[in-house]
Amino acid sequence: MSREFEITVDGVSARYQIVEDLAPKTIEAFWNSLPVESHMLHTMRSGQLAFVSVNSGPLLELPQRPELMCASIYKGYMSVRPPLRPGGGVELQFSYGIAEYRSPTGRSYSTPVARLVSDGTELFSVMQRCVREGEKQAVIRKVEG
Amino acid sequence: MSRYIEVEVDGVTAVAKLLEDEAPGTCQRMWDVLPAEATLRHLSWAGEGAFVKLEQLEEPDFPLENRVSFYMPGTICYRPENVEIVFCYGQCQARTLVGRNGNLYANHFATFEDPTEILKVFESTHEEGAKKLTIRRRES
Repeated sequence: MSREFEITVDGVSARYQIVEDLAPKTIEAFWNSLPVESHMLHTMRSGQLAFVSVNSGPLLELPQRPELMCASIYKGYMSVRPPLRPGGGVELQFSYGIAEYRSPTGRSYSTPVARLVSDGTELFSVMQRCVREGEKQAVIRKVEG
Repeated sequence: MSRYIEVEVDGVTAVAKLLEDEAPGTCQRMWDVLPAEATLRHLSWAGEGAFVKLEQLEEPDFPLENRVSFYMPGTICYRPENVEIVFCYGQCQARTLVGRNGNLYANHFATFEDPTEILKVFESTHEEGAKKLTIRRRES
């Protein structure tokens, strides 16, 4: 049975399912990092996407090169952007529409890890509101059972 | 004689000189709609900058003049097709939805005299969200 996690931002929760087998090392590092308590911010370069920063735990041990390189992050998918330098932070990227991951130097890549399996309408609205309302507390935890 | 505008946001005011030789049409269009108030928000596609929409600037087929694609910190640029004024504080490029690939352009029509403090406010919109912004003529 596929593993699932729940993200809660601004009192709104949604459930994601791990896309098993696509990127096993990244998935295990992500799974072993849960729970995550951090902030969600809107991207400034990648479009309709918000991200949660992770600054400790096994995700920071990932190599800088993404395990499965994707630039287009589809609506309802979550991708992991590995550290840009050894020991650097990781971004958990959540797309709510048209999103293409970009760094200051142009197109960049991250690894898709999970997809939305519950109604994401309210969560997408919260992500979009990050532009107007700024950063928000975010909690990501495993769904047990 | 040069004309200047004032930009006020979050209690910080900065003066910018209009580039009337380089972008005369844009400067005049801006001057004509001032004073103006709008909501300043961080960019989502273009990088380290914030923007306001001023619908009163709308004019079909408004030309590009003194056009730039990569913004410099402290510059003020106008994107006619979106009626957006862009305030850049770092690495920033005129860009929009993925479906419209490639560089876009904006009219560089003003430059801040001393942008140090106001650039920090522009940057703060990323974490703090939208802020009310006022642009007015600077009467000498």
